[in-house]
Amino acid sequence: MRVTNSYVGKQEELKWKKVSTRKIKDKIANGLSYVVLGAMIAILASIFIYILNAGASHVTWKMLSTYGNTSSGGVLNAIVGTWMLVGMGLLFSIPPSLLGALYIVNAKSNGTISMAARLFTDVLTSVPSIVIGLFAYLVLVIKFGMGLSLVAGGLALSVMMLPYLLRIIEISFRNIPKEQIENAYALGADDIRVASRVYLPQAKVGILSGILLAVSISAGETAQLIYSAGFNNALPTGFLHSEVAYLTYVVWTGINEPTAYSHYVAFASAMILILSVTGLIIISKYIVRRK
Amino acid sequence: MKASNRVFNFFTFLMAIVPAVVLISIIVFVLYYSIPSIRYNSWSFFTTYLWNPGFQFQAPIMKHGVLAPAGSAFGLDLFLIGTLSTSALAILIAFPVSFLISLNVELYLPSKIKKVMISMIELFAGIPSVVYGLWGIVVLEPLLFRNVEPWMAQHLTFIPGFGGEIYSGAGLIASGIILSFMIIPIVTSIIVNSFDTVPMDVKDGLFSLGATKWEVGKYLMTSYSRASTVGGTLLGLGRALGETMAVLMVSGAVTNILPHNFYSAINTMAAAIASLLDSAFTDSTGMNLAALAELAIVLMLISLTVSLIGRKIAGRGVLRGYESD
Amino acid sequence: MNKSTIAIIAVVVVVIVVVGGVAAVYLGGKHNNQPAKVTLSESGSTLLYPVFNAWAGNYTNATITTLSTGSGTGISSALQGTVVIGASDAYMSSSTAAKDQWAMNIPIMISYQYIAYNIPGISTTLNLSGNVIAGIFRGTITNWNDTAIAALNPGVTLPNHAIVPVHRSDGSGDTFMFTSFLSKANATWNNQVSYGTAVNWPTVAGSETGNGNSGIISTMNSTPYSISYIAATYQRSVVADHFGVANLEDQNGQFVAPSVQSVSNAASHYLSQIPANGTVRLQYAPGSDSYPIADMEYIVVKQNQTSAAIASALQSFIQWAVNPNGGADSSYLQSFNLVALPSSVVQQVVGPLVNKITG
Repeated sequence: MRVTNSYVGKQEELKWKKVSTRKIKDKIANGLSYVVLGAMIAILASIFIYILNAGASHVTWKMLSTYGNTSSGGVLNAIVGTWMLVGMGLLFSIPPSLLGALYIVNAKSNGTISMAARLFTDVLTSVPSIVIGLFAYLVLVIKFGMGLSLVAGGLALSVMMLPYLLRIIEISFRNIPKEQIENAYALGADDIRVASRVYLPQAKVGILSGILLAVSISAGETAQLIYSAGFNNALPTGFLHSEVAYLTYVVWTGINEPTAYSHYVAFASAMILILSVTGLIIISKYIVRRK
Repeated sequence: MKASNRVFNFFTFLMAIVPAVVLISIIVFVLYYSIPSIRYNSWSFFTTYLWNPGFQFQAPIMKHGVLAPAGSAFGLDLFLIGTLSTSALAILIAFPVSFLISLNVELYLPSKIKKVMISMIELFAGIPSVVYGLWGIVVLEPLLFRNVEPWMAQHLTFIPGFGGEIYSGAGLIASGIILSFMIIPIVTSIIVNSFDTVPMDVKDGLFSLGATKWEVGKYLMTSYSRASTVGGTLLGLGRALGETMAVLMVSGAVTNILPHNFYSAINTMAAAIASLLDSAFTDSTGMNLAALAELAIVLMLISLTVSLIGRKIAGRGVLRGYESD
Repeated sequence: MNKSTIAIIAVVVVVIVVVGGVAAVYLGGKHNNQPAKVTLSESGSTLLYPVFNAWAGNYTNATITTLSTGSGTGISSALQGTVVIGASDAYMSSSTAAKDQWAMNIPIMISYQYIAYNIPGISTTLNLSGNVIAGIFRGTITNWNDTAIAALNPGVTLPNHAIVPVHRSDGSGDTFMFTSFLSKANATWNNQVSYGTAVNWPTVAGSETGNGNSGIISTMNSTPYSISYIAATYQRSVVADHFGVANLEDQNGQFVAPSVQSVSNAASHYLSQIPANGTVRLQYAPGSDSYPIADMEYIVVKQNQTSAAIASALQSFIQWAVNPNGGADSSYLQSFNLVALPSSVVQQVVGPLVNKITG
């Protein structure tokens, strides 16, 4: 190899080398990031396509329109039951999250309590779902005598909906321009009036997207419902002591059973679940984007 | 101040402390149930890995003042190893993937497509656990068992733990992959949001100095966004630690056999609670249930600590890809 | 469409879901014109779950709700009064039963299990005995060509390969049945491991586990030279995966294949030994052609039901369930490889127990 003595030339060479390795690094990172993003989208698509395809090839109109269980019949009871449980969960979690969020954003509230409330709310999201289930079974179902029921299942779901709802509602309250709230107080409005005339109407889109998110998450929960809602081959006949069917149970139980039919209903339920849950998430995002 | 207003304010206060009341009652309740196990097992709960329910059809024995089935012994090490290793693998996958995705959508993609891409990544967080489990059983496990793990066992033997026999495809790798899908949206959304808060002139300044996109990304990552990235990853970890159903379905849910390589069946604390709960109810002394309660306490302590540290570092709480302040 | 229209529509949808759901509860309960049927709720055994489902769809005198939770939860829920019927693969332990004087086991049908193996190259049915299986699961017999196995299988070329024993990682009635058989057939096993829905398994190098029957099947599928116990309910998977199913040595030294007849024989031969409370370990039964790994399936109910209506509905349901013209008809049991109780057991054991139920 011929060695050049020129100092300038060497530096030029170094610079060129440096630029080129930098460029190559950038190219690699660039390429890699596209590959990773593409791979993740492909995996997401493959999960969706697999579940939708497996569900669609086994689902029948009869399955969607009749009551049943994992051995025979349809999943209508599980579809309706899921929404009843979710509705129950909302009934229990919307009031505390709305009012609690109002307390936290109210400037006159005790700051320490507000902060502690937010902290506990965040921490509540990391309680494992099976622990909520065990708690619900031993306390609500047995100690409080609710039995496996709509109310016990709804309460168990509300424990996990509450923190999401409260924090999202709180954030949408905080996004309201401060002047509006100050103006309202300056005009002599009290807290009730400010809440009903400023906070709620201004934050309704945020509240709504929070509700939709909470609904979508809780519709996909299993562990806490097995020990609080039970399962029912038809619709429940009351709020207490009457078990409720739900879709995640059909997936979880069906796939572990020996018959082919139980696998079919499991796939069909998984399809219904994934469609409704992601549908709700997309709607909730759309609502927020529109804003 | 009007009385109605005062009543209203008091009511909002009551509602604000509902989450705290619920959380504290769950902790107190689980702690109460775990007392017999704490007395019976003492420190061996943390230093052994065998989880033996004992002879339920024989007379129970009395030890340390509590009744327990003869021959029962409870140690959480196997489940702890499983929880930590699956979560670690999930982070190991999720962190670089999330970073590269954030880099891509922030710096390479037009902003219209960026929003669509982020929304799609966030859909990963919306897939129910049992659906992940179902997909894991019918798609991921056979794929790992037939194609991926035999290749790894043949070509990666120079890495300790990567040689040896492969199990059914269920285990650490399957669990780690599925957990990573659950936390990638969380980590991605935090990194993207922290990139968004970097002042425009910082980015522009770097580019005008001739920095490449990769360099800008790396710089932002290690300066402006370091805290939120680390914090976000920890928050993702908090989610992975407590995941129950999906891991139960794809981990192999082993007890009493320590993993001997990366393909072995494993078990995690949350999955073990779910799978051992039923037989715990047949124990008339309640010791099996108490031991599971103690397991739950330890799990909650770990995941609460991780979430709190993550929250502190990131300076924000995160809700499954949705961010709070 | 502006944002508030969307918001209002979505709120309306949510309200409809909530209100509609709650209304459906009332309609579901109160719409019937005929007198309200009693609901008998069941929870427990995953093995009995498909049968209860089939019964629930065809039994008309009461509404049956079913729940697949596992036997332990079934027993616990029945004793706590959360459900009326707790379905269990094993009877309550005496210490559990002692806690509740009204708790009662009632035999309802018989299940059995296969000793299945996945040995590449072996297509013949192997003969195995309790002693050999105990040796395998205790780690004293570690190779398929061990002389103890060869002695039972003259003329079969056994592979020179380590045995991989597979057992359940979760608590299960299948484990009860299997370990109870080994305890009866092998004294060392009885002393060292005993029996239960979950046991302290001896440490055997190379052994594997599975969660649930489906977990066992998946582990065995991926593990050549493995052996395990699988509920006969899972016959479809056992056949599809080409596992071998062993013939087992009975008390007379004969090798018996699992079948409805040989399982039913086991129950009949045990009749004289079934105590009034119905609890019996049906494994390793005396008499000829008795398949040794079978067990009674139980329902756990309380003698003192909360009302006379529930008590009488429960009595009729149990009587129907064990009647060959009712729930014990082969159309319910055959597809799950479950076996009806012999009529002698129904008359002498189930009948008196059912009569104890009061409201």
